[in-house]
Amino acid sequence: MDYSFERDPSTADMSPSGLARRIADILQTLHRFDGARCADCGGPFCRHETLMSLVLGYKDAPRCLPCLARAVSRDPDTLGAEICAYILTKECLHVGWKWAQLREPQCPRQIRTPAPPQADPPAAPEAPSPDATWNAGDTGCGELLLELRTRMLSLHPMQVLKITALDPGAPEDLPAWCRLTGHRLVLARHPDYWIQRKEE
Amino acid sequence: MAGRFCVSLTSAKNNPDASTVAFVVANAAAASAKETLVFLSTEGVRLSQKGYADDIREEGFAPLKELMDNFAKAGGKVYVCSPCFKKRKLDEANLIPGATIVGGAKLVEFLGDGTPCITY
Repeated sequence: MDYSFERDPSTADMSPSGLARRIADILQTLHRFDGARCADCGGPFCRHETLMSLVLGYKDAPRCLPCLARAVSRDPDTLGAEICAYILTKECLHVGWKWAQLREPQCPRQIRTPAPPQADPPAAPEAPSPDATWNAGDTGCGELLLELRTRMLSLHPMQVLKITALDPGAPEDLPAWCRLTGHRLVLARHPDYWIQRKEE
Repeated sequence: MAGRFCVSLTSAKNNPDASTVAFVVANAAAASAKETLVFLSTEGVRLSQKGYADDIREEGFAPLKELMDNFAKAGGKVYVCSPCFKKRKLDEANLIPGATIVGGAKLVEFLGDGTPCITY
């Protein structure tokens, strides 16, 4: 299968900042086409299909899976499974997939969520096993931070909270909050963040 | 004369005078070797969208778009209040150059160590 995403010049930048830029770009595309209609048949499509369109080179005119399959002369189910497998190999796409899953747990197209990757890319740090988790949903700014503070204080020193925060300000705000408070941001893979409570 | 300077702006087309003067002052700070931030909140977040400021021209001042472009070229940063942005259903894919959507912690961090802030 020829994936246009593979030829995107930005994929050549393997640095952490390059990865962060790709993730931001993918999330922006998902936001941009929230509630849009298929560029081909005019029907509705889900966020997973936006991501699949991006992979196949239809970033600016997403299509539903049946129309994507027709465009590349493939069976929709087979094509969907193949693109899912491809997404597992790209950390930036997998983040986008997880975001779509959080936003749309009941996918109208019932597209299957890929299993977790078997092996992370060598450069990707391993996510620590959290002692507590919190899905903060769409909350942001002061509302998010006050609740986060309460939850961090409920942990023992050095324990880790995994927070899922969909707010678009979270990628900037949660690292800043950690710098201000002294808690350690162990890993950030928007929308997931692992924060270790400071000692004391 | 290193240091930081913050301009907090809560207006857009509802008060073109304040919006314009805020960026005039921000440009003065950037030109004075200050690491300068414009924090957009409440109605001010509308200025984070490309094209929005194109028709704002206050008598006696340069057009707002020109002031904002010059601010970005001078290395000025624009923080956009996340909840204010979401409330108005603005477009993340249409941000002006130099703008970043942030929450309160990012602003608090910038204002640490007594950084001055003027509000319009």
